[in-house]
Order: sequence, then structure tokens, then C-alpha cells
Amino acid sequence: MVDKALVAASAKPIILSILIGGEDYGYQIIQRVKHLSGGELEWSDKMLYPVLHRMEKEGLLLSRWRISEEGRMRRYYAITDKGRTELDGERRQWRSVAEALAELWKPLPSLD
Amino acid sequence: MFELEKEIRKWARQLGRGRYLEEADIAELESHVRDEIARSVKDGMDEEAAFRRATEVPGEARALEAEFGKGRLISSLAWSYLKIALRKMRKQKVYSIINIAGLALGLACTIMILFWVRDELGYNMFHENADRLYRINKVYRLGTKTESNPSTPYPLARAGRENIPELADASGFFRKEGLFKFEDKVFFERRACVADPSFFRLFTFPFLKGDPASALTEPGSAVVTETVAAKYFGGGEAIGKTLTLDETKELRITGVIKDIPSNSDLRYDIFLAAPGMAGPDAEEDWGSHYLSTFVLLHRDVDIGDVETKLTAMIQSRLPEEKIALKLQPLSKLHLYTADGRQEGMKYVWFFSAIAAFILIIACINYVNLSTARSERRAKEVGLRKVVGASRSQVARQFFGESILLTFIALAVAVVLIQFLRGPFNTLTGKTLDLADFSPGFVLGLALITAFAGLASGLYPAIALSSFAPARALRDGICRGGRKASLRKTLVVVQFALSTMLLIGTGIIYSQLRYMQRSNLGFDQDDMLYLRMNDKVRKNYDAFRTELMRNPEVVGVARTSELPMEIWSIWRGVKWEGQEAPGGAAFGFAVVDHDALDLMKMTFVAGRNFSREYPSDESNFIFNETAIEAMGLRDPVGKPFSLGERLKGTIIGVVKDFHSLPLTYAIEPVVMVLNPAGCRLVLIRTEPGGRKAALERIGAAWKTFVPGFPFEYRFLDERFELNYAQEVRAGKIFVYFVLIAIFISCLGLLGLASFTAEQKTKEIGVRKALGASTAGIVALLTKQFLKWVILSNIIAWPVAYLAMHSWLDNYAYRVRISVLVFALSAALALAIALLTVGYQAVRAARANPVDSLRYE
Repeated sequence: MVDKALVAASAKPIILSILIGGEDYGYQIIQRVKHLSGGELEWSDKMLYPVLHRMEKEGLLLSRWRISEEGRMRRYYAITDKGRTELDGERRQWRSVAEALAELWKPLPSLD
Repeated sequence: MFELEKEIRKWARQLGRGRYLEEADIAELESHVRDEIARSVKDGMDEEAAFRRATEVPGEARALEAEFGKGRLISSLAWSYLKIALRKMRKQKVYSIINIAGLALGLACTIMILFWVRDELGYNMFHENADRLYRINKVYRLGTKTESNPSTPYPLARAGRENIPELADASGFFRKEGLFKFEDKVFFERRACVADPSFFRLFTFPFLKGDPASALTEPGSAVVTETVAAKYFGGGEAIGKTLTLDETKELRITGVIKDIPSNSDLRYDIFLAAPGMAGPDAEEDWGSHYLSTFVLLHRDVDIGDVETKLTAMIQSRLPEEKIALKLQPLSKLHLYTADGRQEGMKYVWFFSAIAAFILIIACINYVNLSTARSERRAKEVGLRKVVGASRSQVARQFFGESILLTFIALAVAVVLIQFLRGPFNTLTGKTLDLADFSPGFVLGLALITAFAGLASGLYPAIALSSFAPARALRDGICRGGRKASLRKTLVVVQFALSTMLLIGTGIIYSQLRYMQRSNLGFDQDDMLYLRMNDKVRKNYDAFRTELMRNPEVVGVARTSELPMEIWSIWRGVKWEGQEAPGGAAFGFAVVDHDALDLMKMTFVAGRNFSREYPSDESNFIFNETAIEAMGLRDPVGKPFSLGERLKGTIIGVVKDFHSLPLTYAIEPVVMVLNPAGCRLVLIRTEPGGRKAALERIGAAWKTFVPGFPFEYRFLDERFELNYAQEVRAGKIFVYFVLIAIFISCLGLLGLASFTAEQKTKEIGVRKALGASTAGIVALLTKQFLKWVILSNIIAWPVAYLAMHSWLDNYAYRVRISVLVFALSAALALAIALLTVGYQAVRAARANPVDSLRYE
């Protein structure tokens, strides 16, 4: 299980990264995240939708209602240009964090 | 049996409860849950278990929710409320207009009154040292009474400055009138003043040119306002120019100040340096009191100490007179008299009360109108609750609506003020301009508006949100005894306030009329007065003869004082058997042989001054109050003397006349004959012959004193001027009362329609059973009658007490008559019936079929 502060911090870059591959709806996003993390990251609906709405208000996403193949209304989210710029920024930040950690966690050179 | 669709709908409904979720959000969550269920079912789970799993909230997720779900969606829901409110306003135009108009009018009045109050309270406070400036008032015994006035002797300021260390500075000044001349420009100036060099160090009047510290140091120097400078010198440089005063004194301009702000009690246009202007022995003259003296205290000084020292100082100079000196702070100069009476302050209280009343009435209106509309909204509230709105959500919605409405009303009020500004400024003599409202004042307005919104929204919010959804939807009607009684209370309060205002208006009006019509003891009609200059004074007899040749001129005489403003006082009047040491102070007037007859004063004993008795120049005429004060019996023929020089006999007693404005009691007055000592000419014209007479008098004046402006005033105009403040306040009061009553009528109209609406079916049934229109109108108006009577019972004693204390400010006042109360009640009743009656008749005339066919 992943710590909730980390979940909160990583939600935005994960959502943006998923949507850069094409528009998607909430349920599917949750499934993708679960699948990608090997079940480690299990988002709830009540966590995801507020984040999506907030990101839409910030102009990172755009939503629209579409009728799915089963004939049900679904709200699809797509990334905007602003969202792409935001993702670039996020990517830089996460990369530097990851590199720093990778450097620190390198196996120590043997003493012999 | 588990029904998936039903369960999902139930779940969705619960989702919206207590939370700000829009339908779209709920739909999205629902779609999510359906996906979840569909997958579980595909994995082989049964529907019920899949539903449970999809909708259950695991503990960890709850924590995440707290992390993400904070403070969201409020604005979007508020938007929808706003849209609903605006839609409602469009749909119910008449109600909305009545509602907004009433509130806007109420707010506009409140704002204007607050502006007035703020202006009054802010008088004189623009001086930099306003908090340390005090006026010296003199307190002394007059007969049996203690009197206070601000007249002080010339040397006081300097002596105070030199001998009392607590004083940082002091300045004395007195008013001066005179003929000012520069080249061909000649004007008679009434607002000139002789001031010592400290004047501009004490008071902050910004200099455009010259140095405040030294402008009045040199004898013969003068400071003028920019308007006066422009009047005499045009656009040219004023500094260094010379004005001639009364054709003798040369005045060199050493400074030009900005015009005196309108909220200053010191209103002079020309300031003359005291050195050289006061008499030669002024520096040592402690006996003549004709200056106002102000002091600037050091910080943290005990005021009582300073007063004691000042009193000791004047008593060492005038040991015979029991004079005490008191300090009146500058902040209280405008609204309080020298003896601390609330002269102007009473109006501030009155108008603040009116502002509060009007605001309350306007708010009550809103409450009544919204609850009257509540029936129509019962279904809306019911539906909201059914789809999951909580009570607090509904309440919040109605609060929002009322606040929105008040702010719309505020906007309308601001526009309204732009229109009412002109008349308001003319009426009050102030310069109301929304542009120079300080941020604090604007914030205050916003607060008042928000408060009005909250206050007026409170009741509708509570009442409407309490509707039980089932009943509201089924009947479309919600009523409760408790709510109705609160509504009734509000109407009674509103009506009580209106009635109080009506009674107040009635009493103020009758007092004003009383003051203007009361018998003054002399005849002021068709009388005008002129100020004599030296030339007229010397050639008075010829001037009089010239005037008397005109048929429009009935008589001409001379005096030193106007009969209704004998402010001059002879202090130290002594008589045999007098107890008070140091003597009493009597009003003192100098007249000629014709003056008393011309003024049509009545002699109760003795005779007038006469040319047949050359010794009359040392004889005396008193008024009745003076004789009474001296306790004389058969006064005529008794010897009397004023000081060392005037010794003679009492030759006559005139009936008491109002020698002072009616706010003052009649004081003892002594009159002596000294034609050469008079400075005013009184002229009586034929009734209706004012205009013709004026032309003739003006022509005569020009031949006698060419180049000297002809300035005159009629006594009755001058008299009105004394009550200008009262008359003005009375008028303002009446206007605002009319508005208040108008607003409460709007509310009543709303309530009447509410009652009629509520009783639609009852009326229908009654009519179907044969009731007459008149009977139904009576039925509907009966309860309003009860309310009006009840509100009168509340209003009468309150109004009586308030008006009684107001009238206490007048020495001569009308009796509070029951008639005023009865008339006010009748008027209130008539207004109520007219307003309610219209609705009642309309309801009664309606065809019963329309109201009954639903059932």
C-alpha cells in the first residue's frame, strides 16, 4: 500500500500521463492505475473525481459527455495544451527526485 | 428481491444529501458505479454483492477522500442558486420590483441620513490639533439662573498664554462687519473677524500664499479667502494689495487661504490682525466681553486644572462677578451649546433613529413579502428536499437570495442617491457626493447592506427551509401558527414605527408653526432694517424726512438692536434691596423716540420716550420680566440708575416681548433713549407695498450715500433665519417620514395579498354560499384593523416620551395635544385600509369558480 501523501502528490502526473495517450473516463483511469502499479495503487472514485474536476477547473483537462458502446453516458477527460506543459514540469521534477533516490540507493562498492 | 436499478437510484439520492454535488457530478459517479458493478458481475459476482462492493467505502479510501474532497463545488452550486434567484425575479416582476424598490429606497435614505450624521459629527475635526483645542466658555449668574456663553474679554488669550503653562497657545477673535473697498470694488462684509496673531497657529486653514505663523502679526495686516481675493483683486496677485475698511483703515493683504470648508463653525472670509484693530485700551479691558477665546492644550493635561487656573485668573481681575471659565472641546462645539445642551446633537439622535427605523421597516417589508411569496415556492423547496437538499442548504439558498437582493437594492440605491442628491443638498445645506466617500464609509455601507440582507433573509430562510417536503408537494401550501404570529408581530412593529414617525412629524410641525406664529409682543410684519453708516447717522433727520415722503413708508425709527435679538447685555444692574452682589445682567437696547411705537409694543404702565421731556435721555423703560426680577411695585416714577453715568427715573413698562429666539426664555430688558447711539434704521412699509417701498428707499439711500451698497433685510425673514435650523430639520424629518410610510405601505400591500391568497378558498366558499363582496372585504380588513390598533397602543407612549424630551429644548413650546396622536392614528389607519382594501376588494370580487374548481 502506498502512503496517502505520496498518492496525493502523484495523482496529477499520473492522470496527465495516462491522458496523454488519449481521452479516457474515470472508471477506466482507476483500472489503468491499478493495473500499472500491480495493485499497489488503488484509487477510489471519491478521490479521483474531485481531482479531475479540480484539474479541469485549472484548465489542465477538458471533459465532455459521450455515449459509450453500451449506450450509457460517460464523461471523458482529455488533456489540454496547458496540461501538456504542466506534465513537462512534473516530469522534470519527478525525474530529479527519482535520479537522486537511484543514486542514493546504488549498491555500495564492495570493500575488498 | 434485490432490485439493482432501485438501489442505485436510492444510493444516488443519498449521495447528494448534505454535500454540494451537482447533478452532473452525481451522474458521473453513478456511471462509475455501474461500470464497477458490470465488471464484478462479469467476474461471476451476483448483483447485490457487486452493488455493495461498488458502493462501499473502505476505511483507507475515506482518508483519501478527506485529502481530496476539501472545499469544492461551492461556487458552482452558488451559481445555480444565483441563476434561480434571477429567474425568480424575472418571473415575479411586480413582487421583485416592490421588494427591491422598498429596500433601495430604505437604503438610499439610510445612506443619506448617515452621510448627514457623519457630516454633523465631523464638524471642525479637520483642524490638525482638533483633539487639543478647546473653547473657553463663561459661566455666570444671571438673576436666579446660571448662564453660559462663549463671550470673553480681550486680554484673556494673552494672559492665559503667558501665565498658564498647560496652554500651548491661545487665541481670541471677534466678528467685525464693515465696508471693504479696493479701487472701484466696494462690498459690505458681514463675515470678517479680528483675530490675534495666534489664530492661524491654532486653527488649520491652509494658506495658498503667505505664512500662517506671521500673517496677522503686523498691525494693519489681513488674510482673505481665495473667493474674497478673487472678488476684490480678480485674477491678480492679492499679497501686498491694500483694502480700505470703512473708508478709514488701510489693510495690507499678507495671506490668502483656501475657502473655509463647509463643516467648519468658524466661518469668516476676512481676518484682520488684532493689533491696531481693537481699541487703545483693549489690552487692559477685562470688563467687556465680546471675543471667542480658544486654547490649545499640551498633551495629557488635566482639563479641570486648566479650568481652575483660568477661573482664578478672571476672578482676580473681576472680583465682583462670580464668573467661572469652562472648557468646551472642539469636537463638541458644533452639536452642543456652551452649557452642554444637545442643541444639534438632538437632531443627530433623531435622524439616526429615523435611519434605523427606515432600515427596519424596509427589512420587515422584505420578510413579509418573501413569506407572502413562500407559498409559491413551497413546491420548489419540497422538490429540493426530495432530491436530497438538507435544511441548511435550503436556508443558505434563501440567505443568498436575500443578500443578492439587498446588493441589487444597494446598486439601485446608489443610482437613486444620484437623483436625490440635488434636493437633499438644497434641503440640508450639505454637499453629499458619493465620490468622496472614504473606504471606511463604503465598507460600513457594505456591512449595513449585508446586515440588512442577513436580517431580512433570516426569517424566510428559517421558515421556508422548515417545509416538510411531503406536505409541501401535496398541498403546495405550508402554514404554521407560530410563523403567522411572528409575521403579525413584524407588521405591528412596522406600523408602530410608522405611527411614531407620524406623531413626531405632527408635533415637530406644530412646534415650528407655534414658533413662527406666536405673538412676539411686537409687530414684525412689513418691517425692514438698514445699517447706518456715519453719513446716514449724521444726516438721519433729512434721510427720515426723505423716506417719509413716500406713501408706502409708514414710519421710520432708530434702534441699536433688533427687537427679537437683544443679545447686548448690561451687566451689573443694581437696584435697592437687591440680594445678589455684583448686580444682575439685563438685556440692553438703545432706541429713539419713535422706535417703540413703530414696533407696536404695548405699554402696561407709564409712557414712551417723548420729545416733550428733554430729560428722557436719562430715563428708563423696562419690560415686565425686568420689573418682576427687581420686585418693584408701581415702578413708574421710581428712580433708577445704570452705572455711574445714567441716573434717572423709570417712565414706562412694556408688555413682555420675545427679545431672544424662542429657544430662550424672555429675559429682563432695559431700554434707554439715545438717538445718536443707534446703528439701525427700522422702516415700516404699507402692507403689500414692500416692492415699491424698497425702490424708493433704495433711491433715497443712493442720493444720501452714493457708492455705498444698499443692504436691507425684512424682520420676518430675519426671524425665520433664527429658526432656519429647526425648519430645515423639520422638513428633512417630514420627507423621510413620508418615505418611511411609503415603504411600510409597500410591505402592507405584500402582506394583504398574502392574506388574500391564503384565504382564496375560504373566500370562494363564502361567496358560493352567498356572502357579499362588502362582507368579505370586511373579513379581510378586520385583522389589519386589530394590528393598527395594537401598534398604536405601543407607539403612543414611546412617541410621547421622545417628543416630550425633544420639546424640552424649547423655552416656549406647544402643548402635546391628543389631537396629534388621534390624527396620526387615523392617518395610519386610513393608509392601511387604502392599501389593504385594494387587495381585499380584488380578492372579494374574484369569481368563486376560479378558486374552487381545483377540488
